[in-house]
Amino acid sequence: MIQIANLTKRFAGTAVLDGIDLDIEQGEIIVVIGPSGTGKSTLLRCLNFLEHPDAGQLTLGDLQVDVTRASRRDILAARRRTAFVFQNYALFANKTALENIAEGLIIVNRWPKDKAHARAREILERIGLADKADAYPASLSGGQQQRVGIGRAMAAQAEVILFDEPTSSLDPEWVEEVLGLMKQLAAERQTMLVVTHEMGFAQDVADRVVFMEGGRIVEQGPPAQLFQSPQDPRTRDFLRKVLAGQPAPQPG
Amino acid sequence: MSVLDLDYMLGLLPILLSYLPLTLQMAAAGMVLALALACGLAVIRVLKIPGLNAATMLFISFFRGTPLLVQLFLFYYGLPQLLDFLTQINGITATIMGLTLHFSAYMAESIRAAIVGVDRSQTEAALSIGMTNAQLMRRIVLPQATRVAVPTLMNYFIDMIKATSLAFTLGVTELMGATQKEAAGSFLYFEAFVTVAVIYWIVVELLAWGQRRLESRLNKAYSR
Amino acid sequence: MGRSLNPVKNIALPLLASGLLATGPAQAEQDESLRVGMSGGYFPFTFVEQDTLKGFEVDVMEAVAEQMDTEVVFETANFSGLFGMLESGRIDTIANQITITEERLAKYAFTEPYVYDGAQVVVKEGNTSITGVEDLAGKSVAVNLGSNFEALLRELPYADDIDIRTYESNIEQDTALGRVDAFVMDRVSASQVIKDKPLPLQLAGETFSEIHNALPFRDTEQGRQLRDEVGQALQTLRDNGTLADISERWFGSDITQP
Repeated sequence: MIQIANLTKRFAGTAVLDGIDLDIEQGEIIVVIGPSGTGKSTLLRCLNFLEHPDAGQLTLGDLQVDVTRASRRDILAARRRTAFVFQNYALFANKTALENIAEGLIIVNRWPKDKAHARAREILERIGLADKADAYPASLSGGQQQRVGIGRAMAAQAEVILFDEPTSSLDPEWVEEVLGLMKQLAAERQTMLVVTHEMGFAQDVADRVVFMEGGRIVEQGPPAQLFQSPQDPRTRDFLRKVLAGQPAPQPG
Repeated sequence: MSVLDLDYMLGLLPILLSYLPLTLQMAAAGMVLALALACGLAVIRVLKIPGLNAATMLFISFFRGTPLLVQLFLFYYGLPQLLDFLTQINGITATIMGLTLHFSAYMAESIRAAIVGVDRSQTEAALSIGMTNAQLMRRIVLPQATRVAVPTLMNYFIDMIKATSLAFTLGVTELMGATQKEAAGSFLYFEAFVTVAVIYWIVVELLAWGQRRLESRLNKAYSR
Repeated sequence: MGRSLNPVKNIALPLLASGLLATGPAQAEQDESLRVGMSGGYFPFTFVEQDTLKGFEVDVMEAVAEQMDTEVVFETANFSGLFGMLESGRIDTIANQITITEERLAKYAFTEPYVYDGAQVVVKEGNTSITGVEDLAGKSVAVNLGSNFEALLRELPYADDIDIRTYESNIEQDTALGRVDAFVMDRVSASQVIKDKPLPLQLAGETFSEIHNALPFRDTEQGRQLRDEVGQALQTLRDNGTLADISERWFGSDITQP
């Protein structure tokens, strides 16, 4: 269970996150949508302390942090509870697919190498890349790399996996296999916070869709409600623009 | 002096070879120390540690901006006139220190560039799974930076071997100094310098061979 | 008469093993020994053959040390490094045919001269266009870096027309190869080079300046005291004929008398 209270982040005096409050239940799948530059990625990065928030309270499972007083130890603890999937995969170029997945288990969780590799093989099986265990990232397709990126996040056994536009860098041909894997995780009730422009995915998979603009949560609700009958004019405006270019859900 | 005096060259070879260990030892000691210093300087530059960063930039600027021979002279002859204890440093030590300071300045910049060149998103990925900065450097950044930096660093080592020939100016008879003096005794300059050139050349070729093997081993990890 | 120069025996390994601030052997023996610097590259005064340091200077300084009842330690370095070694206290004196000049007299404490010589122009064999110092105008002339011959050339009335080139070493070689028209060196060693070495060179004319060579010491109380002791030993060697013997052995004539 995750609670975000009054999370605030400023860049050069401008509030990119302006007091975000959000609760995430265990097993819940939340999709965050909104215009570019509206703080969606920053929200994810602040939860993982890749950006240091300026104010707010975080509850990540058994960890409670006042971000203004977060110690090094708190930050490491927060990171272990929030796994991150990057837009550009960010695989370790000097490690094989297997090692990319096992690395955190060995280095951070201090598992013996054998045990970590066994777990990594299980994960490779689940993400359909068992035959690529010894391949280096450079020899994998974009879709395969992102699946390894997701596998690395799965291995961390975090409270939540944060997906930061996981399909935006992919060639169209690879998008489906990555979304397919994410759907599989959703079916297993893996807690997920997903920033994406894939409205079809949001419609089909999300328990809740959050619409952000200007560093604030404007509106949120189940996908049917948010897509079919958005309450706020800004939400309506955004959906009209976005869905003009995509098939799937029709605005109400 | 129409033909090479081969007998003289063959006789000279073992004499000159007996000075090769000193040349290699000075270069090896200089390389180890310069690498250690350069890593420290590079980390200061990458992390932009306040105060130290500016001092490091000044250090690098000076030691890259002045000839090695000038630095050796300042170090060995100039400074001892100001600081008495420095007269305790002998020519070999001064040469090693000079090589260390001079080459560490160049190597620090190569290492810094190699570290900075590692994709920033990998750093974030390592942090995101809970690695500490030290683990991140050791497991992810340095192995990749090493691969990028090794060819340049090996070239500096080769340069350093040749730069040891300046040590004779500090009274250290190494390979080059021995050659100069033998040539003065025989006046067979061409023969003497051909002999020493061949020695340097073979040593450098052996190193280049080692370098290629090392590089292909480091590269293997990325291309499968 | 000779000294082994092999560094591995002498210094290298223990030094590298013991780390950066090791002290040199010369330093350790400072109190007992006379430390003499030379280039090892100035035939026949100081040169190396088969890894052995030899020459007139070596014999003279060994005789001096024997006379003083002390040990002599030779330190070889590029000529350009020798005065630095003297000033920084790493050697006591330089035995490398150092010519007494005004500038040097102002800075160092010299013994009485032990070699009297003249500056000599040397050209490639068969060169008839230069028959003495007066023909050097418009020519390129090599001198050794730090030697006094450059100053002597600059004193000539037509000095501006001479292309003076300063060398770290190998001036004989470059003259024989025709890269420069002539070199200037002391007559004694020039004659020796022509006689003993396989280079096509010849003397051009007579000597053009008298030069007095002596041993420089640091101009400090300690330096002057050592200068006096060495000077005394030299005088004794001159009086008992040892200097003349050494000179005869190397040059077939006595260059140690005015």
